[in-house]
Amino acid sequence: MEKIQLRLVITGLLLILLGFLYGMIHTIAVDHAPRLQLREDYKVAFTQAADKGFDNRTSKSTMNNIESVNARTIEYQRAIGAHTHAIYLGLMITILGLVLNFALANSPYKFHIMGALGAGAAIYPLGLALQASGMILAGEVMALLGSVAVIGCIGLIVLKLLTNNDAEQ
Amino acid sequence: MSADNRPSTVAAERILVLSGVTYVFLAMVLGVLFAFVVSHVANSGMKEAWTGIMAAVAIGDSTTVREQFAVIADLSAMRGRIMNSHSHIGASGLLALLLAALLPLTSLSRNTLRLLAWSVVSAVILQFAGVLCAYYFDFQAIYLADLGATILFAGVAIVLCGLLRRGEGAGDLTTYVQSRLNSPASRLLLKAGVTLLLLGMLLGSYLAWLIVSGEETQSLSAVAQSVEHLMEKDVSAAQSAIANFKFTQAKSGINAAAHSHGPVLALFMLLLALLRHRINLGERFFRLFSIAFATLSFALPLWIFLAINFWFNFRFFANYTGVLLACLTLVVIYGAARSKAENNDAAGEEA
Repeated sequence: MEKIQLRLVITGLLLILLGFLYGMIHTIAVDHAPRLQLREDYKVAFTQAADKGFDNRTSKSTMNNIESVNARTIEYQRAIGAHTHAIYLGLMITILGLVLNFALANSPYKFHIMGALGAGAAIYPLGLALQASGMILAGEVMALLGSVAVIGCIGLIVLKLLTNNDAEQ
Repeated sequence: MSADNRPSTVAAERILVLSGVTYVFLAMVLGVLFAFVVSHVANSGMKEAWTGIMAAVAIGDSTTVREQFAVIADLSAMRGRIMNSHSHIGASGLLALLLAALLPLTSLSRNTLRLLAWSVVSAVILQFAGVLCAYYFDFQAIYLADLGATILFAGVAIVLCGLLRRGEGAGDLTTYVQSRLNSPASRLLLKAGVTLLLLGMLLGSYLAWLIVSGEETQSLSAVAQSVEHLMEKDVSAAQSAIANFKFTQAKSGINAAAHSHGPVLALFMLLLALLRHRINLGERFFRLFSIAFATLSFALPLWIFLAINFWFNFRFFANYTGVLLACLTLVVIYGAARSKAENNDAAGEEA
Protein backbone atom coordinates (compact mmCIF):
# COMPACT_ATOMS: atom_id res chain seq x y z
CA MET A 1 0.00 0.00 0.00
CA GLU A 2 2.77 2.42 0.99
CA LYS A 3 4.42 1.94 -2.41
CA ILE A 4 1.25 2.88 -4.27
CA GLN A 5 0.69 5.88 -2.02
CA LEU A 6 4.23 7.04 -2.72
CA ARG A 7 3.62 6.56 -6.42
CA LEU A 8 0.67 8.94 -6.19
CA VAL A 9 2.80 11.44 -4.25
CA ILE A 10 5.52 11.22 -6.91
CA THR A 11 2.95 11.64 -9.70
CA GLY A 12 1.70 14.75 -7.91
CA LEU A 13 5.19 16.24 -7.67
CA LEU A 14 5.86 15.45 -11.32
CA LEU A 15 2.61 17.16 -12.26
CA ILE A 16 3.64 20.24 -10.27
CA LEU A 17 6.99 20.29 -12.11
CA LEU A 18 5.26 19.94 -15.48
CA GLY A 19 2.90 22.77 -14.54
CA PHE A 20 5.92 24.92 -13.69
CA LEU A 21 7.67 24.02 -16.95
CA TYR A 22 4.56 24.72 -19.02
CA GLY A 23 4.18 28.13 -17.37
CA MET A 24 7.84 28.98 -17.87
CA ILE A 25 7.92 27.85 -21.50
CA HIS A 26 4.72 29.75 -22.22
CA THR A 27 6.17 32.87 -20.58
CA ILE A 28 9.40 32.67 -22.55
CA ALA A 29 7.89 31.57 -25.87
CA VAL A 30 4.82 33.82 -25.90
CA ASP A 31 5.09 36.85 -23.65
CA HIS A 32 5.42 37.92 -20.02
CA ALA A 33 2.25 39.96 -20.36
CA PRO A 34 0.07 38.35 -23.06
CA ARG A 35 -3.10 40.03 -21.81
CA LEU A 36 -1.48 43.43 -22.38
CA GLN A 37 -0.43 42.34 -25.85
CA LEU A 38 -4.03 41.39 -26.62
CA ARG A 39 -5.21 44.86 -25.52
CA GLU A 40 -2.51 46.32 -27.77
CA ASP A 41 -3.90 44.33 -30.71
CA TYR A 42 -7.42 45.61 -30.01
CA LYS A 43 -5.90 49.10 -30.02
CA VAL A 44 -4.40 48.58 -33.49
CA ALA A 45 -7.77 47.40 -34.84
CA PHE A 46 -9.77 50.32 -33.41
CA THR A 47 -7.17 53.00 -34.20
CA GLN A 48 -7.09 51.82 -37.80
CA ALA A 49 -10.89 52.07 -37.93
CA ALA A 50 -10.81 55.60 -36.45
CA ASP A 51 -8.09 56.71 -38.90
CA LYS A 52 -9.58 55.31 -42.09
CA GLY A 53 -13.32 55.15 -41.35
CA PHE A 54 -15.45 52.12 -42.17
CA ASP A 55 -15.16 51.46 -45.88
CA ASN A 56 -15.47 47.83 -47.02
CA ARG A 57 -11.75 47.13 -46.80
CA THR A 58 -11.20 48.65 -43.35
CA SER A 59 -14.32 46.99 -41.94
CA LYS A 60 -13.17 43.59 -43.10
CA SER A 61 -9.66 44.12 -41.80
CA THR A 62 -10.95 45.41 -38.39
CA MET A 63 -13.26 42.40 -38.02
CA ASN A 64 -10.45 40.01 -38.96
CA ASN A 65 -8.15 41.63 -36.40
CA ILE A 66 -10.78 41.38 -33.68
CA GLU A 67 -11.55 37.74 -34.46
CA SER A 68 -7.86 36.94 -34.32
CA VAL A 69 -7.51 38.67 -30.91
CA ASN A 70 -10.60 36.78 -29.64
CA ALA A 71 -9.16 33.42 -30.74
CA ARG A 72 -5.82 34.19 -29.06
CA THR A 73 -7.65 35.28 -25.89
CA ILE A 74 -9.29 31.85 -25.66
CA GLU A 75 -5.97 30.07 -26.33
CA TYR A 76 -4.32 32.17 -23.62
CA GLN A 77 -7.09 31.34 -21.11
CA ARG A 78 -6.63 27.61 -21.79
CA ALA A 79 -2.84 27.86 -21.44
CA ILE A 80 -3.17 29.62 -18.07
CA GLY A 81 -5.76 26.99 -17.10
CA ALA A 82 -3.36 24.17 -17.98
CA HIS A 83 -0.55 25.81 -15.94
CA THR A 84 -2.62 26.47 -12.80
CA HIS A 85 -4.63 23.22 -12.90
CA ALA A 86 -1.46 21.11 -13.29
CA ILE A 87 0.08 22.75 -10.22
CA TYR A 88 -3.04 22.67 -8.03
CA LEU A 89 -4.06 19.15 -9.06
CA GLY A 90 -0.45 18.10 -8.43
CA LEU A 91 -0.61 19.63 -4.94
CA MET A 92 -3.95 17.92 -4.37
CA ILE A 93 -2.91 14.40 -5.36
CA THR A 94 0.36 14.70 -3.45
CA ILE A 95 -1.56 15.52 -0.26
CA LEU A 96 -4.27 12.94 -0.94
CA GLY A 97 -1.56 10.38 -1.70
CA LEU A 98 -0.30 10.85 1.85
CA VAL A 99 -3.68 10.54 3.57
CA LEU A 100 -5.52 8.15 1.25
CA ASN A 101 -4.86 4.99 3.25
CA PHE A 102 -6.16 6.80 6.31
CA ALA A 103 -9.17 8.26 4.50
CA LEU A 104 -10.14 5.03 2.71
CA ALA A 105 -9.44 2.65 5.57
CA ASN A 106 -10.87 -0.83 4.84
CA SER A 107 -12.18 0.17 1.42
CA PRO A 108 -11.70 -2.58 -1.20
CA TYR A 109 -11.57 0.06 -3.93
CA LYS A 110 -8.68 2.15 -2.66
CA PHE A 111 -6.26 0.98 -5.36
CA HIS A 112 -8.77 1.79 -8.11
CA ILE A 113 -9.46 5.19 -6.58
CA MET A 114 -5.74 5.98 -6.40
CA GLY A 115 -5.21 4.98 -10.04
CA ALA A 116 -8.20 6.95 -11.31
CA LEU A 117 -7.26 9.98 -9.23
CA GLY A 118 -3.68 10.03 -10.55
CA ALA A 119 -4.78 9.50 -14.16
CA GLY A 120 -7.59 12.07 -13.97
CA ALA A 121 -5.34 14.72 -12.42
CA ALA A 122 -2.78 14.24 -15.20
CA ILE A 123 -5.30 14.09 -18.06
CA TYR A 124 -7.26 17.24 -17.16
CA PRO A 125 -4.44 19.83 -17.58
CA LEU A 126 -3.23 17.94 -20.64
CA GLY A 127 -6.70 18.44 -22.15
CA LEU A 128 -6.47 22.18 -21.49
CA ALA A 129 -2.96 22.32 -22.99
CA LEU A 130 -4.26 20.57 -26.13
CA GLN A 131 -7.07 23.13 -26.41
CA ALA A 132 -4.48 25.92 -26.09
CA SER A 133 -2.58 24.37 -28.99
CA GLY A 134 -5.66 24.33 -31.19
CA MET A 135 -6.71 20.67 -30.73
CA ILE A 136 -10.07 21.68 -29.35
CA LEU A 137 -12.13 18.48 -29.59
CA ALA A 138 -9.40 16.13 -28.32
CA GLY A 139 -8.64 18.60 -25.54
CA GLU A 140 -12.28 18.89 -24.50
CA VAL A 141 -12.72 15.10 -24.40
CA MET A 142 -9.58 14.67 -22.26
CA ALA A 143 -10.56 17.50 -19.92
CA LEU A 144 -14.03 15.97 -19.53
CA LEU A 145 -12.64 12.49 -18.78
CA GLY A 146 -10.09 13.92 -16.36
CA SER A 147 -12.62 16.00 -14.47
CA VAL A 148 -15.11 13.11 -14.20
CA ALA A 149 -12.35 10.84 -12.81
CA VAL A 150 -11.08 13.39 -10.28
CA ILE A 151 -14.51 14.55 -9.09
CA GLY A 152 -15.77 10.95 -8.85
CA CYS A 153 -12.77 9.89 -6.75
CA ILE A 154 -12.94 12.92 -4.46
CA GLY A 155 -16.68 12.28 -4.05
CA LEU A 156 -15.99 8.71 -2.93
CA ILE A 157 -13.27 9.88 -0.52
CA VAL A 158 -15.63 12.46 1.00
CA LEU A 159 -18.34 9.84 1.36
CA LYS A 160 -15.98 7.43 3.07
CA LEU A 161 -14.46 10.11 5.34
CA LEU A 162 -17.82 11.45 6.45
CA THR A 163 -19.40 8.05 7.06
CA ASN A 164 -16.44 6.53 8.93
CA ASN A 165 -16.28 7.36 12.59
CA ASP A 166 -13.05 8.58 14.19
CA ALA A 167 -12.59 5.43 16.28
CA GLU A 168 -12.54 3.30 13.13
CA GLN A 169 -9.79 5.49 11.64
CA MET B 1 12.32 5.11 12.15
CA SER B 2 9.25 7.25 12.78
CA ALA B 3 9.14 10.19 10.45
CA ASP B 4 8.35 12.57 13.30
CA ASN B 5 11.49 11.58 15.17
CA ARG B 6 13.95 12.66 12.49
CA PRO B 7 15.74 15.56 14.14
CA SER B 8 17.53 16.48 10.89
CA THR B 9 14.29 17.57 9.21
CA VAL B 10 12.97 19.67 12.10
CA ALA B 11 14.88 22.88 11.30
CA ALA B 12 14.03 22.79 7.58
CA GLU B 13 10.40 21.91 8.32
CA ARG B 14 10.14 24.85 10.73
CA ILE B 15 11.53 27.29 8.18
CA LEU B 16 9.17 26.04 5.47
CA VAL B 17 6.09 26.01 7.72
CA LEU B 18 6.66 29.51 9.07
CA SER B 19 7.46 30.96 5.64
CA GLY B 20 4.67 29.00 3.90
CA VAL B 21 1.98 30.25 6.28
CA THR B 22 3.39 33.79 6.05
CA TYR B 23 3.19 33.66 2.25
CA VAL B 24 -0.40 32.43 2.40
CA PHE B 25 -1.15 35.33 4.78
CA LEU B 26 0.46 37.80 2.33
CA ALA B 27 -1.63 36.33 -0.49
CA MET B 28 -4.76 36.90 1.61
CA VAL B 29 -3.74 40.52 2.33
CA LEU B 30 -3.17 41.15 -1.38
CA GLY B 31 -6.51 39.48 -2.18
CA VAL B 32 -8.34 41.72 0.29
CA LEU B 33 -6.52 44.78 -1.08
CA PHE B 34 -7.49 43.72 -4.60
CA ALA B 35 -11.14 43.20 -3.64
CA PHE B 36 -11.49 46.45 -1.65
CA VAL B 37 -9.41 48.85 -3.76
CA VAL B 38 -8.25 47.60 -7.17
CA SER B 39 -10.93 45.42 -8.75
CA HIS B 40 -13.88 47.83 -8.72
CA VAL B 41 -11.83 50.90 -9.71
CA ALA B 42 -10.08 49.05 -12.55
CA ASN B 43 -13.29 47.53 -13.91
CA SER B 44 -15.27 50.77 -13.95
CA GLY B 45 -12.26 52.68 -15.36
CA MET B 46 -11.88 50.18 -18.20
CA LYS B 47 -15.60 50.19 -18.96
CA GLU B 48 -15.55 53.99 -19.17
CA ALA B 49 -12.48 53.92 -21.44
CA TRP B 50 -14.10 51.37 -23.79
CA THR B 51 -17.24 53.53 -24.03
CA GLY B 52 -15.02 56.51 -24.88
CA ILE B 53 -13.28 54.47 -27.60
CA MET B 54 -16.61 53.70 -29.27
CA ALA B 55 -17.50 57.40 -29.42
CA ALA B 56 -14.01 58.33 -30.64
CA VAL B 57 -13.99 55.71 -33.43
CA ALA B 58 -17.40 56.96 -34.62
CA ILE B 59 -16.04 60.50 -35.12
CA GLY B 60 -12.65 59.30 -36.45
CA ASP B 61 -10.65 60.64 -33.46
CA SER B 62 -7.70 58.25 -33.37
CA THR B 63 -5.79 60.32 -30.76
CA THR B 64 -8.55 59.76 -28.19
CA VAL B 65 -8.67 56.07 -29.14
CA ARG B 66 -4.94 55.78 -28.35
CA GLU B 67 -5.32 57.71 -25.08
CA GLN B 68 -8.20 55.55 -23.90
CA PHE B 69 -6.30 52.37 -24.78
CA ALA B 70 -3.37 53.70 -22.74
CA VAL B 71 -5.77 54.03 -19.77
CA ILE B 72 -6.97 50.44 -20.33
CA ALA B 73 -3.40 49.15 -20.61
CA ASP B 74 -2.39 50.87 -17.37
CA LEU B 75 -5.41 49.63 -15.39
CA SER B 76 -5.02 46.19 -16.91
CA ALA B 77 -1.34 46.03 -15.96
CA MET B 78 -2.03 47.16 -12.39
CA ARG B 79 -4.86 44.66 -11.95
CA GLY B 80 -2.87 41.88 -13.62
CA ARG B 81 0.27 42.39 -11.52
CA ILE B 82 -1.59 42.47 -8.19
CA MET B 83 -3.69 39.45 -9.17
CA ASN B 84 -0.54 37.66 -10.37
CA SER B 85 1.30 38.37 -7.12
CA HIS B 86 -1.76 37.25 -5.12
CA SER B 87 -2.10 33.93 -6.92
CA HIS B 88 1.64 33.15 -7.20
CA ILE B 89 2.54 33.90 -3.59
CA GLY B 90 -0.49 31.90 -2.40
CA ALA B 91 0.47 28.88 -4.51
CA SER B 92 4.13 29.17 -3.46
CA GLY B 93 3.07 29.30 0.20
CA LEU B 94 1.10 26.07 -0.26
CA LEU B 95 4.08 24.53 -2.06
CA ALA B 96 6.41 25.44 0.83
CA LEU B 97 3.97 23.80 3.26
CA LEU B 98 3.73 20.71 1.06
CA LEU B 99 7.53 20.36 0.95
CA ALA B 100 7.61 20.74 4.75
CA ALA B 101 5.12 17.87 5.03
CA LEU B 102 7.17 15.68 2.67
CA LEU B 103 10.66 16.25 4.15
CA PRO B 104 10.41 13.56 6.86
CA LEU B 105 9.69 10.96 4.17
CA THR B 106 12.96 11.67 2.37
CA SER B 107 16.46 10.72 3.41
CA LEU B 108 18.07 14.01 2.35
CA SER B 109 20.95 15.18 4.52
CA ARG B 110 20.55 17.93 7.10
CA ASN B 111 22.62 20.40 5.02
CA THR B 112 20.66 19.69 1.83
CA LEU B 113 17.42 20.23 3.72
CA ARG B 114 18.53 23.56 5.18
CA LEU B 115 19.77 24.75 1.80
CA LEU B 116 16.53 23.60 0.22
CA ALA B 117 14.39 25.40 2.80
CA TRP B 118 16.24 28.71 2.47
CA SER B 119 16.27 28.44 -1.34
CA VAL B 120 12.50 28.00 -1.39
CA VAL B 121 12.03 30.94 0.98
CA SER B 122 14.21 33.24 -1.16
CA ALA B 123 12.74 31.94 -4.45
CA VAL B 124 9.24 32.96 -3.39
CA ILE B 125 10.47 36.42 -2.36
CA LEU B 126 12.27 36.82 -5.71
CA GLN B 127 9.17 35.79 -7.64
CA PHE B 128 6.91 38.09 -5.64
CA ALA B 129 9.29 41.08 -5.84
CA GLY B 130 9.90 40.48 -9.55
CA VAL B 131 6.21 40.57 -10.45
CA LEU B 132 5.50 43.72 -8.41
CA CYS B 133 8.70 45.60 -9.37
CA ALA B 134 7.99 44.89 -13.05
CA TYR B 135 4.86 47.00 -12.71
CA TYR B 136 6.00 49.72 -10.30
CA PHE B 137 9.67 50.18 -11.39
CA ASP B 138 11.16 48.49 -14.43
CA PHE B 139 9.67 45.73 -16.59
CA GLN B 140 13.10 44.01 -16.70
CA ALA B 141 12.46 43.03 -13.04
CA ILE B 142 10.15 40.31 -14.39
CA TYR B 143 13.29 38.20 -14.95
CA LEU B 144 13.72 38.09 -11.15
CA ALA B 145 10.36 36.33 -11.05
CA ASP B 146 11.61 33.83 -13.65
CA LEU B 147 14.70 33.20 -11.53
CA GLY B 148 12.51 32.66 -8.46
CA ALA B 149 10.33 30.18 -10.38
CA THR B 150 13.44 28.29 -11.54
CA ILE B 151 14.77 27.97 -7.96
CA LEU B 152 11.35 26.82 -6.78
CA PHE B 153 11.30 24.25 -9.58
CA ALA B 154 14.70 22.98 -8.43
CA GLY B 155 13.43 22.76 -4.83
CA VAL B 156 10.48 20.56 -5.83
CA ALA B 157 12.79 18.44 -8.03
CA ILE B 158 15.18 17.86 -5.08
CA VAL B 159 12.35 16.65 -2.84
CA LEU B 160 11.13 14.42 -5.68
CA CYS B 161 14.63 12.90 -5.95
CA GLY B 162 14.68 12.48 -2.17
CA LEU B 163 11.42 10.53 -2.35
CA LEU B 164 12.60 8.41 -5.29
CA ARG B 165 15.83 7.45 -3.48
CA ARG B 166 14.30 6.71 -0.09
CA GLY B 167 17.07 5.06 1.83
CA GLU B 168 18.06 4.69 5.47
CA GLY B 169 16.47 7.31 7.64
CA ALA B 170 13.37 7.93 5.54
CA GLY B 171 10.19 7.86 7.60
CA ASP B 172 7.53 5.15 7.39
CA LEU B 173 4.45 6.57 5.63
CA THR B 174 1.70 4.81 7.59
CA THR B 175 3.17 5.71 10.99
CA TYR B 176 3.82 9.22 9.74
CA VAL B 177 0.22 9.82 8.64
CA GLN B 178 -1.29 8.21 11.75
CA SER B 179 0.84 10.39 14.01
CA ARG B 180 0.03 13.55 12.06
CA LEU B 181 -3.71 12.94 12.07
CA ASN B 182 -4.10 11.77 15.64
CA SER B 183 -5.54 15.07 16.84
CA PRO B 184 -9.33 15.58 16.42
CA ALA B 185 -8.69 19.08 15.06
CA SER B 186 -6.48 17.66 12.29
CA ARG B 187 -9.16 15.14 11.34
CA LEU B 188 -11.75 17.93 11.29
CA LEU B 189 -9.54 19.97 8.94
CA LEU B 190 -9.03 16.87 6.77
CA LYS B 191 -12.78 16.24 6.41
CA ALA B 192 -13.58 19.92 5.82
CA GLY B 193 -10.72 20.24 3.34
CA VAL B 194 -11.70 17.27 1.19
CA THR B 195 -15.38 18.30 1.21
CA LEU B 196 -14.50 21.85 0.14
CA LEU B 197 -12.26 20.43 -2.61
CA LEU B 198 -15.24 18.49 -3.96
CA LEU B 199 -17.56 21.52 -3.86
CA GLY B 200 -14.95 23.73 -5.54
CA MET B 201 -14.51 21.19 -8.32
CA LEU B 202 -18.26 20.82 -8.82
CA LEU B 203 -18.51 24.59 -9.20
CA GLY B 204 -15.60 24.41 -11.66
CA SER B 205 -17.51 21.82 -13.73
CA TYR B 206 -20.55 24.08 -13.84
CA LEU B 207 -18.36 26.96 -15.07
CA ALA B 208 -16.72 24.69 -17.65
CA TRP B 209 -20.19 23.75 -18.89
CA LEU B 210 -21.02 27.46 -19.26
CA ILE B 211 -17.84 27.92 -21.33
CA VAL B 212 -18.55 24.91 -23.55
CA SER B 213 -22.16 26.05 -24.03
CA GLY B 214 -20.86 29.28 -25.59
CA GLU B 215 -20.79 31.94 -22.86
CA GLU B 216 -17.11 32.73 -23.45
CA THR B 217 -17.42 33.11 -27.23
CA GLN B 218 -20.60 35.17 -26.85
CA SER B 219 -18.78 37.52 -24.49
CA LEU B 220 -15.88 38.01 -26.90
CA SER B 221 -18.16 38.35 -29.93
CA ALA B 222 -19.65 41.44 -28.27
CA VAL B 223 -16.50 43.34 -29.39
CA ALA B 224 -17.17 42.40 -33.02
CA GLN B 225 -20.84 43.38 -32.56
CA SER B 226 -19.76 46.81 -31.34
CA VAL B 227 -17.79 47.27 -34.58
CA GLU B 228 -20.83 46.23 -36.62
CA HIS B 229 -22.89 48.89 -34.80
CA LEU B 230 -20.19 51.48 -35.50
CA MET B 231 -20.37 50.61 -39.21
CA GLU B 232 -24.08 51.32 -39.03
CA LYS B 233 -23.25 54.66 -37.27
CA ASP B 234 -25.16 53.52 -34.17
CA VAL B 235 -22.81 54.69 -31.40
CA SER B 236 -25.11 54.01 -28.45
CA ALA B 237 -25.69 50.39 -29.58
CA ALA B 238 -21.91 50.01 -29.95
CA GLN B 239 -21.42 51.37 -26.42
CA SER B 240 -24.00 49.03 -24.98
CA ALA B 241 -22.39 46.05 -26.78
CA ILE B 242 -19.00 46.96 -25.33
CA ALA B 243 -20.55 47.46 -21.85
CA ASN B 244 -21.99 43.95 -22.21
CA PHE B 245 -18.49 42.68 -23.14
CA LYS B 246 -17.00 44.25 -20.01
CA PHE B 247 -19.79 42.92 -17.78
CA THR B 248 -19.57 39.34 -19.05
CA GLN B 249 -15.76 39.43 -18.76
CA ALA B 250 -16.00 40.64 -15.16
CA LYS B 251 -18.69 38.04 -14.43
CA SER B 252 -16.62 35.14 -15.73
CA GLY B 253 -13.56 36.42 -13.83
CA ILE B 254 -15.49 36.61 -10.54
CA ASN B 255 -17.11 33.20 -11.14
CA ALA B 256 -13.61 31.79 -11.73
CA ALA B 257 -12.54 33.37 -8.43
CA ALA B 258 -15.44 31.64 -6.64
CA HIS B 259 -14.22 28.34 -8.14
CA SER B 260 -10.52 28.83 -7.38
CA HIS B 261 -10.80 30.06 -3.77
CA GLY B 262 -12.55 26.87 -2.55
CA PRO B 263 -9.83 24.36 -3.57
CA VAL B 264 -6.99 26.70 -2.50
CA LEU B 265 -8.43 27.12 1.00
CA ALA B 266 -9.16 23.38 1.06
CA LEU B 267 -5.51 22.56 0.28
CA PHE B 268 -4.40 25.00 3.00
CA MET B 269 -6.66 23.19 5.52
CA LEU B 270 -5.32 19.76 4.46
CA LEU B 271 -1.74 20.98 4.87
CA LEU B 272 -2.51 22.50 8.28
CA ALA B 273 -3.95 19.10 9.30
CA LEU B 274 -0.69 17.39 8.32
CA LEU B 275 1.52 20.07 9.93
CA ARG B 276 -0.49 20.47 13.13
CA HIS B 277 2.47 19.34 15.25
CA ARG B 278 4.53 22.30 13.96
CA ILE B 279 1.87 24.79 15.12
CA ASN B 280 2.23 25.32 18.82
CA LEU B 281 -1.33 26.11 19.91
CA GLY B 282 -3.35 24.31 22.59
CA GLU B 283 -5.51 21.45 21.27
CA ARG B 284 -8.78 23.02 22.43
CA PHE B 285 -7.85 26.39 20.95
CA PHE B 286 -6.71 24.77 17.70
CA ARG B 287 -10.01 22.89 17.48
CA LEU B 288 -11.95 26.16 17.82
CA PHE B 289 -9.60 27.73 15.27
CA SER B 290 -10.22 24.82 12.88
CA ILE B 291 -14.01 25.14 13.15
CA ALA B 292 -13.83 28.91 12.52
CA PHE B 293 -11.36 28.57 9.65
CA ALA B 294 -13.35 25.78 7.98
CA THR B 295 -16.63 27.72 8.27
CA LEU B 296 -15.11 30.87 6.76
CA SER B 297 -13.41 28.84 4.01
CA PHE B 298 -16.80 27.44 2.95
CA ALA B 299 -18.37 30.90 3.17
CA LEU B 300 -15.83 32.86 1.07
CA PRO B 301 -16.43 31.14 -2.32
CA LEU B 302 -20.16 31.09 -1.61
CA TRP B 303 -20.31 34.88 -1.08
CA ILE B 304 -18.23 35.49 -4.22
CA PHE B 305 -20.55 33.28 -6.27
CA LEU B 306 -23.70 34.86 -4.83
CA ALA B 307 -22.31 38.38 -5.35
CA ILE B 308 -21.90 38.07 -9.11
CA ASN B 309 -24.88 35.82 -9.82
CA PHE B 310 -27.56 37.11 -7.43
CA TRP B 311 -26.95 40.21 -5.32
CA PHE B 312 -23.80 42.29 -5.76
CA ASN B 313 -23.77 43.45 -2.11
CA PHE B 314 -22.70 39.94 -1.09
CA ARG B 315 -19.24 41.16 -2.16
CA PHE B 316 -18.98 43.01 1.17
CA PHE B 317 -19.55 39.69 2.99
CA ALA B 318 -16.82 38.15 0.81
CA ASN B 319 -14.41 41.01 1.57
CA TYR B 320 -14.90 40.79 5.34
CA THR B 321 -14.72 36.99 5.28
CA GLY B 322 -11.34 37.42 3.56
CA VAL B 323 -10.23 39.80 6.33
CA LEU B 324 -11.28 37.29 9.01
CA LEU B 325 -9.46 34.45 7.24
CA ALA B 326 -6.30 36.59 7.11
CA CYS B 327 -6.64 37.29 10.87
CA LEU B 328 -6.98 33.56 11.58
CA THR B 329 -3.91 32.88 9.45
CA LEU B 330 -2.00 35.34 11.66
CA VAL B 331 -2.85 33.04 14.57
CA VAL B 332 -1.24 30.13 12.68
CA ILE B 333 1.88 32.25 12.08
CA TYR B 334 2.02 32.91 15.83
CA GLY B 335 1.67 29.20 16.53
CA ALA B 336 4.36 28.28 13.98
CA ALA B 337 6.74 30.90 15.45
CA ARG B 338 6.13 29.57 19.00
CA SER B 339 6.81 26.05 17.79
CA LYS B 340 10.26 27.21 16.75
CA ALA B 341 11.27 28.19 20.29
CA GLU B 342 9.90 25.00 21.78
CA ASN B 343 11.66 22.77 19.26
CA ASN B 344 14.92 24.61 19.85
CA ASP B 345 14.59 23.81 23.56
CA ALA B 346 13.85 20.18 22.75
CA ALA B 347 16.87 20.00 20.44
CA GLY B 348 19.01 21.49 23.20
CA GLU B 349 17.78 18.91 25.69
CA GLU B 350 18.43 16.09 23.20
CA ALA B 351 21.98 17.35 22.69
